[in-house]
Amino acid sequence: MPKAIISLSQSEALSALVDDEASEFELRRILKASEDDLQLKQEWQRYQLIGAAIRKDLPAVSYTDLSASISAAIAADSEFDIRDESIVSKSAGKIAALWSTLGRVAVAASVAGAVVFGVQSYQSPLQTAGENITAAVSSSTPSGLPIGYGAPEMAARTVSAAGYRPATLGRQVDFVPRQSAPAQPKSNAYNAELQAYLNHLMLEHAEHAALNASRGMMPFARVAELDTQERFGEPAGSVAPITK
Amino acid sequence: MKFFWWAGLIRILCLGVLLSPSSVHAVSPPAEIESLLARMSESTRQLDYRGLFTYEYGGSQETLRVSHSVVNGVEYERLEHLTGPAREIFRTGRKVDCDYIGDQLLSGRLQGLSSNYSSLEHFYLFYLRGSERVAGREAWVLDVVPRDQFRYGYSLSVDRETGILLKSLLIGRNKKVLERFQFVELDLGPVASAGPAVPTLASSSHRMADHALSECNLLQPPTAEIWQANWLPAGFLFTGQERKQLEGDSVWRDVLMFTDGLTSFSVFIEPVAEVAALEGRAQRGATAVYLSRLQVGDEYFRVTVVGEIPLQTIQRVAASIVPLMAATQGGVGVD
Repeated sequence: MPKAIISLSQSEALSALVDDEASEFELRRILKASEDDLQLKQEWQRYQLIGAAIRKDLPAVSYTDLSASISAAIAADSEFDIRDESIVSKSAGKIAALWSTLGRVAVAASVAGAVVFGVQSYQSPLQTAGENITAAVSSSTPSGLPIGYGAPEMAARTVSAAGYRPATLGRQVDFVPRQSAPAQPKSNAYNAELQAYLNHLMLEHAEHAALNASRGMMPFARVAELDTQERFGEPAGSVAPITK
Repeated sequence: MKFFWWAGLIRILCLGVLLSPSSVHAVSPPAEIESLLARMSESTRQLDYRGLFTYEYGGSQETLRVSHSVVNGVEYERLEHLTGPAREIFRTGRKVDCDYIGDQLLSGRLQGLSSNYSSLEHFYLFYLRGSERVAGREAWVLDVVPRDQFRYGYSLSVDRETGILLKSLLIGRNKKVLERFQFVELDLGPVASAGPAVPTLASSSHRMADHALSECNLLQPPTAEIWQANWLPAGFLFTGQERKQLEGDSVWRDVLMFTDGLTSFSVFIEPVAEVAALEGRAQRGATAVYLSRLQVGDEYFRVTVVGEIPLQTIQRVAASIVPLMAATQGGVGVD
């Protein structure tokens, strides 16, 4: 549907999208419209260009149309999650699908610095999952460009969108199992063991990072607990075969 | 009206740029950035200092005390957590003139690499954003923006006088800050109780910094011997491996270590008895963990990747781990 003029509401939605403020609906509308609307695409590039000029980022970024090559790269990349999702939803039924949804929410939220649910609360994940969906959604609406092409105004935002969190909970490692829920043993002892195991690996990793990431002992600050645990035992309960 | 609000914002930003004397400018010669980074990595290891810093992540904040001294060319470090469970870590043994791969990458001194690896400029964009005060000291602010989605970005504040890293933000997607280290106080000069400090807490951990995992001043990165990652994000190098015997001969854990100079991750591989090993992903602050499973013939291994990199990257690395020929021939836990 060729259009001579971009409507005002479309420009508005586009500018909101540039600022990462567009609603889900607006995002979809723009994406749909941009499929065959060259003018809209150009508008998008201009907005980004203006933004970059203001931030004085122009020399660092080449302003060619990257969308085609990015699409091709994504299509060629078989490793991405899309494959996993389809396998899970086809083969493993409702519960697995629910867990995989929760898992994805958790990944998105935790990558964004928001915290989902700790091992402690994992008997009732549904209660806490809801409030984290907002965090996940807000973090999963990228501007469509890889990081680095947006504004590098890094210091602008503060730590954590998650709000206040009790310190003891903060030291927990948030673990999201991959397979279907009922098979996972969830006793406190098991969780404690899992926490100890994860903490131990994080400690070892900190040790390596302190040697090779050029920041002195800073990586050790990430270590929540020092432990003597050397190995995480196999789960006592029976665990169903992996669905992969 | 969002459009007009946006236009208004542009005006405000323009004004801001005009008014601010220390406005953003990308530093063109990479040498300048490299010398700043090299200085950062050197002075953190070579100078005597002590101070307090905070570590923030995911809505939590920890306070820590650090001291660092060099006695007879050997580093002595102590890190004490002032919040949460009492714990402290001592580290000694590393010689000041010992550069690991990470340091060499950071200062562009590693030889025998294809030109793709020779400079961090290939993987990050660097912006010197003027200066700020941290812990009462003037610092350069260096923003480090990844060129791909496989790693995180940083905002580093480096002390103008000494080159010590005063503040470090780790920045994830959508410019979310995942963790923040920040000195609140830094004293330079000899640490009062120099030398091997005595652990005072029951929960202290003494660590030797010169273990087998990384060798000093290598001219070329080492080659993998037992396991290999078939996929690595561009710029990451294998820096060393180690096997830990846990209980007797049959229980062990291999560690592989990778770095691109700014970021590092570790891969742990251990045999598991059951077919059904636990799989999943875990996260605390910026540190992501992915537990996966590997089958080699009849053997099952748990492959765990830990690092301050996005989960997608970690997952891909975990999926790409394969044994080298030596692993099966050398009877690595086989039979």
